Formats: sequence, C-alpha cells, structure tokens
Amino acid sequence: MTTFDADGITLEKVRDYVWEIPQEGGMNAPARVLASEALLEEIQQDKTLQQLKNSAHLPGVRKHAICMPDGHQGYGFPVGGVAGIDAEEGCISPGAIGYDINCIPGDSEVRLSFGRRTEIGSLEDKFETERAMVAGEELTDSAIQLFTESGEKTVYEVETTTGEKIQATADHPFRTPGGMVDLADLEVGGEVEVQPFRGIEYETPDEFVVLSEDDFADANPQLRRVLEKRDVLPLKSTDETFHRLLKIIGYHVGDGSLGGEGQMWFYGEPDDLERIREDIEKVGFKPSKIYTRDRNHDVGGNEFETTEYSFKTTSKAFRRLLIELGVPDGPKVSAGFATPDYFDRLTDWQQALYFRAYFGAEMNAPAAQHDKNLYCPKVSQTRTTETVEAGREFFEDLRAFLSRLGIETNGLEEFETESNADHDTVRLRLGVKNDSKNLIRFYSRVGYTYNYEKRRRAVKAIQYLKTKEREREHRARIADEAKTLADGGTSVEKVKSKFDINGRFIERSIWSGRDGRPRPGKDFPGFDEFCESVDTGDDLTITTEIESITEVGEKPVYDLGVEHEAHNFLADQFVVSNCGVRMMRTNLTYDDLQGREEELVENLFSNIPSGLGGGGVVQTDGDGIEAILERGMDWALEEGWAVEDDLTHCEDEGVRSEANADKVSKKAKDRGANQVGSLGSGNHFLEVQRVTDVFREDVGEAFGLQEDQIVVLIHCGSRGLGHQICTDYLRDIEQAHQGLLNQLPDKELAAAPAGSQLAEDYYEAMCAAINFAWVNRQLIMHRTRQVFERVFDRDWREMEMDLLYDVAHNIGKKEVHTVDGGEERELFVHRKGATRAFPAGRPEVPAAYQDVGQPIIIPGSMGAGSYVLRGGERSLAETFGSTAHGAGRLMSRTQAKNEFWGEDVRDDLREQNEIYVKAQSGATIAEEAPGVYKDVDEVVRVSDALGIGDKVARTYPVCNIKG
Amino acid sequence: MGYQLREHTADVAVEASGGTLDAVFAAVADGLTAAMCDEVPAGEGDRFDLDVRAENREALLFDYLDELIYERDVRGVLPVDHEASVSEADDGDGEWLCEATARGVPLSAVDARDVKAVTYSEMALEPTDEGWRAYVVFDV
Repeated sequence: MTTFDADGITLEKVRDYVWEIPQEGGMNAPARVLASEALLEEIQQDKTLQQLKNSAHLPGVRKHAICMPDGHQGYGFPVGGVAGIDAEEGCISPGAIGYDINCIPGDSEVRLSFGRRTEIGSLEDKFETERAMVAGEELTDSAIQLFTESGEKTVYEVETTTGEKIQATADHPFRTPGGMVDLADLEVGGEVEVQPFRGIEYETPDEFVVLSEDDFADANPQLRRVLEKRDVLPLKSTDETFHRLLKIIGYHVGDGSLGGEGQMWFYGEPDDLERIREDIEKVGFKPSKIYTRDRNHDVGGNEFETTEYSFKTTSKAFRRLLIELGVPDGPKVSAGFATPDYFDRLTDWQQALYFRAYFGAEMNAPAAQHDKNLYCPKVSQTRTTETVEAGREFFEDLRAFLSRLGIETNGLEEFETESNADHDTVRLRLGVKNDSKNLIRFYSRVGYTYNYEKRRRAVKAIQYLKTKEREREHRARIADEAKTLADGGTSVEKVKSKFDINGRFIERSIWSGRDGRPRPGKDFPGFDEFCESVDTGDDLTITTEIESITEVGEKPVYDLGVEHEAHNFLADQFVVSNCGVRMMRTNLTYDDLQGREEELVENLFSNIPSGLGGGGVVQTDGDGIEAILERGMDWALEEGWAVEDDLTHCEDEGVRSEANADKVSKKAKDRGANQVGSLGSGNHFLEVQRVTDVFREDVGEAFGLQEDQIVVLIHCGSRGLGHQICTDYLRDIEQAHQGLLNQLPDKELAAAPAGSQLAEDYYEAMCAAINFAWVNRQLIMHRTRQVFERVFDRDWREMEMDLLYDVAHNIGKKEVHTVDGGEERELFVHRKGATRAFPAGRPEVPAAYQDVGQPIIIPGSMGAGSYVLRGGERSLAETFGSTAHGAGRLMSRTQAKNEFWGEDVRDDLREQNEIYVKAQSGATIAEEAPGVYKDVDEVVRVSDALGIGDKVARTYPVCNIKG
Repeated sequence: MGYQLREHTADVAVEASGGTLDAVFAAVADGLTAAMCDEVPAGEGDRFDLDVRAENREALLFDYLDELIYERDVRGVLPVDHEASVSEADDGDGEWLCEATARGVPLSAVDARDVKAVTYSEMALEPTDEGWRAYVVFDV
C-alpha cells in the first residue's frame, strides 16, 4: 500500500487522488483527503490534516470527513472541509424508551452497560467513561458523548398501564410503534415502547488487584507474556475486561467444560454463543468457529435427536486465566468449587454479571406452571458427597446476593441422587420464590445474560406479571367498594349493576369474603396466551399503553446524548459566513471591453461599496433587516433589486424558508444594517472576466457560456452579520454543552446536538444569514448592471446580463444522502470552503440545469483566472455532493505582505496580464497576490479526474475590485 | 511585552504578553488593531468605553475582542490605544469582568482591512514567569 507521511499523520492511498487517514482514537469516522501528491505536499504544510482529523471526532460523522483538493488550515474545521453528520438522535431512557434522553429530571434512572443503572444526575462527573444502553436494532451499549444540565423546566409524568413511570419535558421524544413522538403529542390510551429490565443500582467498586503475576509464578513465561500483552495482568477489579470475564466464567460454570489440553468449551444456542465469542474476542483471545453436532439421546426408553452447538478456545493462557478466576479445574461434580474467592469484595452489580450468565446457561426460562402462575426459576448442581460443602457455600452466596436485592428464595433443597460409578452424589437446588412481586424484582434486576430466548421470555414475564398485579389490585378495589356499598345498605343487585364485572365475584365479595387478594378474572389470559399476543423487538422492547400524563412541576432537567448510530450533532463553527460566489453572464465580448477597462474598473470601484466601513448599497433599518433575513431574494424582488429570473438561478431559489429573524441577535442585526450590498475585504472581490476556454460544449451551451464572452464574478458573504451569528452561537453552545465540548480536540468545533433547542435556533439563524448573503450578492450584481449600463450606454437586459448561478461555499444544510450500508439518511452536510456539486437529476438542481448538473463556480486568484464546473456523477458517492471552492491559500497574509508590495503587484498585473485591479488598501492586493494561492488548475484537474466536479469553462480576469 | 502578528495560512494570529492580565488583554487588542491597519494616525477620534462580563478568563478575552469588532462596525471607527482592567466579579459567582476603553478613529481616516471575527481556534491565555501570554486567531 502506498502511504504518505505528513509529520506524524500517515495517509493511505485508496486510489488515485484519494488518501485516507484511518479512524483512530476518538475519531468517529476515517478522514479523507482528495488531492494529487503535489497538492498533498502543500496541504500537509500547515495544520489542515490535524484539523481534518479533529473534525472526524464530531459525534455522528458519517462515512468520512473529507478535505477537498484546495484544503488549507482554518479554525476548527479546515477550509475545504466537508462532513455529513447524521440527523437523528439516539439513547435510552428508563422505562419508556426515547431515542434521546432529552430532558429528564436528575433522579431518573439511566441504564448503563453491564446491567447497571444510575440516576442521570449522578453521571455528571463520569459520563465520559460510561456506556449507556441504547435500543437500536438490538439492545446494545454506547459511549455517552454529552451531558448537560438544562436548568428548571416543566416536567410531566407519563405512566403506563403496566406501571412504568417516567418524568420528562414536553419535547422529550418517546418511541412508539409509529416512530418517535414528543411527550406533548402522546395521548392517554396510546402506545409507547418500554424495555422493562432495570438492572442494579451502580456503586463504585472497590479497586483491588484480582490477579497479579504472582498468581502465575509457576506458569511458563510465555504464558505470562500472552496475558500481559492483552493487558489482563495485573487484572484489577475495576477493569472493563474483568467485567467481561465475570460473565464468561459465570456462563462456563453453567454450560462449559474443560476439554483436552488448553481447551475450554462453551455450549448453547448459536446466536448466544456468538455473543460469548464477542466478549472473548474483546478480552483478546480467539475463539473457534461454532461447531454443530447431532446427538442421540435415550431417556427412559425414549430416543430422540438433538443438535448441540459449541465452540472452544485453545489458548492455554486463557484457560489458566479462567481457572484462576474461579472456573472449576476438573469435573464440576467433584472439583469442589464455590463462588470465586474474591467474590465478597465485589459490588452487587459485579456479582450479578457472574450470576446472570450462570442463569443464562442453567436456570429454567420463565414458564407457566399452570395457566396464570409461573414456575419458580431454579438452578441445581450435582456434587459428590465429599465436595457438597463447597456446593452449599455456592448456593449460600447466591441466596445472600438475591436477598440483598430484596429477592426471596426457597430453602436450599438437597436430594440423594443415583450415584455414579465412583462417587456418592447429592443434588442441590435453589429456587426463586414465585409470587408475582418477587418474580418481577428478580427478572427486572437480575434475569439472564447471553441466552436471548430466556431474556425475551423474561421481558414478557415482567410485563405479564405487572399486568396481572394491576388486574388483581383493580379487582380488590371493586371488592372493597362492593362490600362498603352493601354494608351501607345498597342491595346486592344494585351493587352488581354498578360494576362491569362477574356477578358471582360481587356476591363473594359481599357475603363470603375471601382469603387475601382476589385472583385475576377468568378472562385474564394465561401466560402462554399472553406471550403469543405480544411481541418483543430484537432490542427486547415491548409495547404498553399510556394510562396517564400529568404535569408534576418544575425540576432541573438533564440532557444526555450517546454516540450510537443515529446520533446527530450540528457542528457550529465550521459553518461560517455563508460566503459564496455568483456569476453573471453578458453578451459582450472581450473586444467590446478592450480600451474601456480603466473606465469600468473605476466606475465599479466607486459604485460598489467595499472595504472596512464602506457602507452598503442600501442603508436599512430594523424592519428592513428582519425582512431580508426572513425572505431573502423575495425581498430583493419586491424592492426592485432583482428580477424573477435571478431567483430561479439561485440555490433554493434564493430563500431559505427555515430562516427565523428572531434567532438572530440584535448585535448581529446592528452589524448588518449598514452592510447590505457590500463586498467587505480580504479575499472577497468582484471581477469582470472573459471566457478563455470551454471544455464541454454541450454543458457550456446549457450554461450559456462561449469563448471570448464577458462574465462577472462576485465573491462575498453575509458580512459582519453572519460572523456575529456564528460568534453568538459558538458562545451559547460553549456554555450549554460544555460536556461535549470538553471531549472535542478543538474548542472551535463546538457543536449542539441535533434536536436540542440550540441546534434548531442556530440552524434557523444560519438560514437567515444565508438569506442575507443572497441579498448582499444580489444588490452588488444589480449595481453592476447599472454600472455597465452607464459605461456601455445600453440597457442591461439588452446586454443579457443574466445570473448564471449563485452558490454558497460556507454552508450547512439538511440533505438526504446514502451512507455506509446503502442506507438513506438525513444529514447536516457541512461545507466549509467547499461547494455543493450535485449532478444532473438530483431534485435540488434548478430546472434550467436538470439535464447537465448544477453549475459550480471556482474563483481563482487575481492572476490565475477562475473555473466553471458542473456537478460530477461521482460527487454523491465520494463527497456528499461537494467539490472544491477555490484555489486555497498557500501563504499567510503576514508573509504575503513581506514578500509583495501592493502597488508592484497591481502594476505587474496591468502590464503583463492586462488585468485592471483597484482596491481600498494596497495591503489587500499584496495579501491576495497570485503567488499566495494554490495552483487552481491543479485543484480543478483533481476535481475533474475524481468526477466530483467536471471542468466546463475557464475564465480570465479583466477588471478586479476588492476591499 | 506587547504583541506580534503571527503567520496563519488563511487567517491572522496575534501573540501577546504582559505583566498583568490588564496588560495582556490590551496588548491582544492592540494586535487586533495592527491586523486591520498598518498606520494609525495619532490623536484623532474620541475614546469610548466598553464593559464585558464572562464565565472565565478565556471567554472574557474572546468576548472583549468580539465587542471591539462589533463596536468598530456599529460606530464606524477603528478602535486603537487600548486600555483594559480585568478582575474577578466580586458578587461571588466566579464571573470575570473587563472594563476597557479605546480611542475610535473614524474608518474614513484610515486605510484599514476587515477582521471578521475572533475565534477560539488555538486560543491560549496562560500565566508565564513574566506574567501572562495570549494567542488568538482572527478570521479575516
């Protein structure tokens, strides 16, 4: 493989012009650079690659974070950076499942990995290192990316008919069979999905060394090295690996055996074995494939065949590790094993890891004993009489563990069994008491690990028993009321008519009384019937009905976001001032212009505001700014600054309807008020150009471009207003989402989680800034038309001064793209210094260009000319429909000023290139001198070769004005 | 002590130092002025005040510079000759205050270029043996 080493960052060549930085550390996706080796040499000279890597840390980044061929160092995100960031949210909330724990009070429980739960408020100090459970395609855990306290908010309590309760704010989404629904839109009687397993309260475990080198002193050094290499020596009680191992040994004690030398065997259902294999791989060992074996049985004369599935491990080190951790070293019946000797130093949730896995292997699944009652879940072991004491110890530890969790057990049963040839044996058996409340506690706190079918049955059992309990309570209330009415003198017949219940039940309630609470009615389904009527998803969720929704007052609420798929963040700062370019055609040729350049450049310069403090084409007030922010090009049309055709040749027809002027601060509006229709300074400019080459005749024709034609290019953005919006939100996000920010490698990457209020506000404000930017460029274009009218003494329509296209290249937009696995997802596509490059056929492309693809305008530097491209076929697959935006800087402004003198640059351009430049500041000319930019030809060549933006025409400057 | 403009491919960076927080804040602001304008006329323009409050020192520096850029656009002046007084707010909620003044030279009287925004990118504000050092990248 060809690699490119860039000062500590290694890029792997994927194919020509495509370089990849592999995903590592906190990156959520690999990063790619699209460049030739020559461009890559330039790109690696500043911090572009590090910034690109940083941007791949943003939660929800899909496929790749991408750097265009013209990439260079920016702030936060590199300029020339593109990222598609997923547009949904994901997480799990207690009881009722929301795809994000949006805003819930501090005492709400959150499910964590390894069967634990904790109050959300307590996650504040440790969320970075925790993993929360997520109901995705299956129930799985995920890193937590974000924790925030969002102050006091009105909170509602939702209660279901099966008794789950959750408090949340009105905008908290709940998962229902019909998709995610905000609490405010839930209705009593409607359905929500819950995952009724609660787990065990998280306690911080005592840290101690479980196994050290000393435990392996007798083993050969090779074996110790294997363990050290996998980081299991020393093994500490707080290591994640230790927690996986507890599960593995718990299962092995139930359904495992030692095999030949070095082997460990595990037996179970294929899917369950798969999960054990995954855990073993995570510990660092390689399990075998799963073997299938048909076995014949003969039990009491009945012959039958079963299929046995198993896998083995063959690492001696792994076997020794498990034995040191407490797996019996020899036949279980005679090995004399109890719970591991370090067990009493573990927290309950740690012990539960071992027992749950043991139950997954050994305990019977929830099943109906008769109709509406369930069997006691039991586990048993056979021991030789010599070792039975160790067995009793094992069960005593188990009983004590359950008892600490409030779960009652029956007494330990001992049976004489048929002794085998060598030993007398005893069978020990412990069962969990089967009254409903006890079983609900058992299944929702402990239950089973690894065995999927048992876990599924346990979920159903919890819901069944809760439903049954409610039925019994309901009937008990009726019985009470009936008796009270009857005692008060109401006739039996009258009492019967009051309740929708069996008459005999009322009679018994009134006359004969009963022992204890009433049993469920005859119509109440049996367990088997119930199980058939309900489904659990692969994520072990189950549907239940909402019984009530009540406001419970103001509480401080918390916000938690997880990394798992479907999580989505709106990254802020790399969507900046919505700067963009537009190109206007004319029917003039270079011949028409020659000799009048001086006049034209002077006229343009004096009529088009530029530079610092230069004012705008129009001076607006508060109402004017509001209208521009909300209505964009529609405002320009109404005010006479645009014609209909101008609108149809802008992206989105020049109006972002999501814009909301209320989300733009007064400060930003103040800055915008005297800048409507102004170029600003820096790299922004207006250029009169001639078309020198048309590379694709058919597309050129569709774009209305031919050689020698005069065009006008305008490059500028939303000015101070756009920057102020950015600064304001960067600060707000910094304050509101500190937790997320702390995890990102660069503060400038501040991001608001999608779905959060701040993300919505920012998106609406950014859309308003985009509207402002369109109006800004429109006013400049319209003023240019007037200047041309004066200079050439002709109506602008006669000169066919029509807008070719207006494209933004610092922009964030919701778009649907195909991501990994072929899935279509809504993304926030961030293009910072990158241009949308949609190919023909994509619906967003304006009608005029549907058949050829959207125009892309790539402004070059003063001496090098610019390009018009069209959206390439490969852009959707490679770059979320994006390509470069310009030449890209090569040299800092400070350095440029040292190397160039503005007046010399201007004179050289005039004398050698026949380019007429006029600027407010000589320093600006020096800073923007041709030599400070990358070679735009090379940038475009790479774009064309990759098929993301195809070369259509090249233009060369004639007149240039700048700030 | 004072400031220097540093190389930054697309943008402009200011590195400043000062014996006190007051001095380093004012020095960064002087650097911001220098990034916009090479020659500042002496004596022209009136002084104006600004007060900024933020949750920590770095944020305070960010907000101070942001406020100067805002005042520039709204007043139409180039802020020069900066003075800043930085202190922890005495109402005990851990916030920081910057009371500053600058002379506002009308933009029409200078040859100045735009600095669009202050950024957090690579920002540093740290104590040194001699006092304080700051590094700020500006978007131009």
